[in-house]
Amino acid sequence: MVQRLSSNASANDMNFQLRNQEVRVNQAQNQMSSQQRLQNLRDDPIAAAHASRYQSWAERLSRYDQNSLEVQANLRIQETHMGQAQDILQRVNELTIQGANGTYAKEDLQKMGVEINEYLNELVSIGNAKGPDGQSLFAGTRVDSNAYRALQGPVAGAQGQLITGVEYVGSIGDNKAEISEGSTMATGFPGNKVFWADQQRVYSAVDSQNYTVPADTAVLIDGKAVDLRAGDTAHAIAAKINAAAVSVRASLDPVTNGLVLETTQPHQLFLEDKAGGSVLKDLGVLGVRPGLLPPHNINQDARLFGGSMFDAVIRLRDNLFAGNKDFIGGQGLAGIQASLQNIQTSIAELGSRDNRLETVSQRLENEQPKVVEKLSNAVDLDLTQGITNLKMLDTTHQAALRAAAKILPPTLMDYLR
Amino acid sequence: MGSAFSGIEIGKRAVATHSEALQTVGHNLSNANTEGYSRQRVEMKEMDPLYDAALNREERPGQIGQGVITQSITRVRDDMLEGRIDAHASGEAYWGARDEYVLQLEKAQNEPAELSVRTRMDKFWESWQDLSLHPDEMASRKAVLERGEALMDAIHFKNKNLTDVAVALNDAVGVTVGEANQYIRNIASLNVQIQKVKAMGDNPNDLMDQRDLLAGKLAALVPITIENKRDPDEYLIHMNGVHLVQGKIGTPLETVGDPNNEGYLKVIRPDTKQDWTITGGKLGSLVELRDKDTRKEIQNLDLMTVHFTDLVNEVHSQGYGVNGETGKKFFNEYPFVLNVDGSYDRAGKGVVDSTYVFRVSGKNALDSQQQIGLAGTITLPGKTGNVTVDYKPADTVHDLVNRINNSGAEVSARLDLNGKIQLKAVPSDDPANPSFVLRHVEDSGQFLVGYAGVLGQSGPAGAYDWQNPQAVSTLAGGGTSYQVAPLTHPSAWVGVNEELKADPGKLAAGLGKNGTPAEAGDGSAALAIASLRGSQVMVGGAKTFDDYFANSVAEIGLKGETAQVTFQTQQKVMKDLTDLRDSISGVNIDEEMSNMLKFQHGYQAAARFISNWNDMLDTIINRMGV
Repeated sequence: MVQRLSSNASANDMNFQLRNQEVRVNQAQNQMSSQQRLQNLRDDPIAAAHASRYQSWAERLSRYDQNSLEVQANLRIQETHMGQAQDILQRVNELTIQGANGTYAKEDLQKMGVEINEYLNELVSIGNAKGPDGQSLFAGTRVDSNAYRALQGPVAGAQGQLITGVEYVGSIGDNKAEISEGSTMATGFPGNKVFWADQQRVYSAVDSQNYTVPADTAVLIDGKAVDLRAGDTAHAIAAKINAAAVSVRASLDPVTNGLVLETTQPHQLFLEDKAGGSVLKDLGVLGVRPGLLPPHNINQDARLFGGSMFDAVIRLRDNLFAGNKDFIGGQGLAGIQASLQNIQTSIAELGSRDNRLETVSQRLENEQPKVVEKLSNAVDLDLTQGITNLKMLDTTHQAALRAAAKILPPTLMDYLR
Repeated sequence: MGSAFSGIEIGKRAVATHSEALQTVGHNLSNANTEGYSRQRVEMKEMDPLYDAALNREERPGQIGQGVITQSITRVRDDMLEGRIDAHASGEAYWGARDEYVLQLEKAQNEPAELSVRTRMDKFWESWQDLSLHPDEMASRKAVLERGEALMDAIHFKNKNLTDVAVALNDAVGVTVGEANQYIRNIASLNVQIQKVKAMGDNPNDLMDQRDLLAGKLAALVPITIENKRDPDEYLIHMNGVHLVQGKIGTPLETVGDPNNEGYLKVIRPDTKQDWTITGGKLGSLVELRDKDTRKEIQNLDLMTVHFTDLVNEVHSQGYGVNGETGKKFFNEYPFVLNVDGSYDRAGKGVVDSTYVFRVSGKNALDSQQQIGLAGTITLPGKTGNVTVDYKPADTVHDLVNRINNSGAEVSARLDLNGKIQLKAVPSDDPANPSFVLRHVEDSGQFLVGYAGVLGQSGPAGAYDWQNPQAVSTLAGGGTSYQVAPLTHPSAWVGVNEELKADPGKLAAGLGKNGTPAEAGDGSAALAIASLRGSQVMVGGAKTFDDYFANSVAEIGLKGETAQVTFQTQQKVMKDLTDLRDSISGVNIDEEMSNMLKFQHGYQAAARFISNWNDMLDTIINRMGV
């Protein structure tokens, strides 16, 4: 406590305090006009750090939301097409059951064949369906080309060129979308699964009893790499394929010792050797001619069983034209029913994906407002607090000025005559 | 009986003294508002009595006083307090400069706002997400390129802001040194004048006030100690053992451009021309802000840029464009070390003498949860010297990677997209070591050699060391990849690859399978790049990009908060000290007015006394005698 004040002391003090007050008033005004509590990072560094995280997080959530909405929209389109295919197959099923009934004459069966042919054409165009952006829906990742290629030719009992074979020329790649932090969902339905009928089986004709893998390589089963080490025998190869996460079962034929590959869920097998390797070629599963691409690269000597939905419908139609009732009621019906079951499975999977997206969507919708709230707490100004603060500072400022005005002016000189 | 005219002498002396006192009062009043003025006071003393008792003593009671004389005119001043104020001034100026410039660094962050580097990066990741959903669309590709450019613009802009702050600081250093030198010269020349006045036995009060004022201002700029104020010959201002002012000799500060530090000014000792680190005062604060804080901010930005572009390039070059082209980088940095092996001529002697490599990767894919089954010690470069990291057979790869990252080595480790280990250089603490250059990698066991496939040999013989211009030959060949280091600040020179801008079809969206180019609907590369956002990519010490941005915001914000609060405290303390000084040395006008009345009365009384004595003499002279 000083015992003596110079004349400047009061003026200096007043200046000091008033300048500080003005800074505070200015800050309060800035807060009010920008509605932000943080004007500079130094006002609350921890809150600023949190705020930067919350902002990024909020952006991410809105992106995931958008992603899942898009995927859901795509699923609707795919569902429409698959539903149509299902309806057509139902109709074909009814016709087949009718035709298997022994009361129809050959001409009636031929007329049925014509109807089935039309359904076949429709199924092919469903298989080649394109989405609103012009990309193929069922071609896997090869979205810029058709999924199926139809081969035409003459058919006994019919006039003109009809479809005699439908080949899948899409890929089996499945594009994934990120629907939530770190979790992705496949977005496509490749045609080799959806429009397939029976389990596919490949029987190699090569005796693999004494075969060993020459060097470290891998084989690609349905796109998944199964690593093989040098010195692995055919049994080891089969065991590794079985242990891998693919719906394919490998075994050795007891009679010929050839490698047998069977699908455990109906789909068309895509087999490949890793670049630089030739295990499947050596084992007689794949053909050795260069330039062959899956799924058309199966060795000509190997026996291949199982076909697609189109194959089943084509065989049925051909037999209707030929009038083979036994086939119609037996293998024909079985093929159609297998196709139908497969499509229904795919539609069910689509439904479950849709459900998952719904759940994810709901969760995102719940989470987004919470993050925004956290962000707001960190950064935004509480309006009532801001207003009262400003008013209080304003009042004290005026009081200080009034007091200074009273105290500063008089000196002794005013009282000396 | 005394002299006849002694009364007049007494009156005369009183009148003279009192008019001196009045003059001093007038001087005080005139200088009430002068900066650095200390009020002056006339010390009045009784005049020595007339005669010595031993001589010629009259037989009457003595000693008759002989009136008043001025002993001295002194300043009212507390030297101890002045010393405290000077010492405090350097602290206040230090924090004042910090407060001001750290605010500019905070503003350069532009957070939490709409247009910061972070928000542009968020939008960049988003565009990749969009591409992953629509990999066949050219519009999505164009959007990715646009967002990439916007992000690069933001990074360049931030780099420019930070560099501008550094340049402003450098200019301020030059100006401050000039100011300080001016003060030093002026103080020395004042000392000359003060010495002359003191030699005559007088108090050069006003000159000393000026000198003290200048010394106070100098104390704010550099942390000086002032000694021997009373003796003008020995008046000493020194700092860190170097005399800046001694009596009339002033030694100015010298600066010289530092080629290791972008040519910025550094202060050197005037006697030995060695580097002189100034800590404290405004000058010390400016140098520290420029060389530590701003440099760190720029380094941080460079670090993020280098990691970010490296990560994106790594994935992108494995992906395929629309025409099946692969191996393209997304970001290009100009300039890079031109030599493909990373050999570089550091000493400038015309021959390559070091290897500048930023990242080395192993060739074997590792499983992060697998136990290593090997034992040994890895030696990596640290802040000062090398750091060792041990590993035992029961450690998993994940454990060892974490241990490397937490070891304090200037290296960060991670497993990349394909599971191969990557060792990346972190910016160096010591300006003598170049940033983003891996300095040393050595393994006494087999982890980095056979297991991960980084080095060719274990032990010191197979160590990778940057001082060897052919160091890449120690790396295991065949599939090991390394990335040469950027030469200048990457954040100023990165850009989106011109090839991609010219033909967006070359932008890779899919990774393809088994060596075949990606199909049109394959967006796996885009997805992999988008997922870099949240994955643990090790940006220096931060695990993810989110961590990096949050950390840099918090760090600069805390520095700013500290600077602001400390500065306010310092200001308050300084105010208390100056208030105290003011109460001692400041002029109080009312006090001077009452003093003036006092001296005026004294003057009037003395004048009255003279005229009375005059009347008495008049009686003797004119009325006595004939």
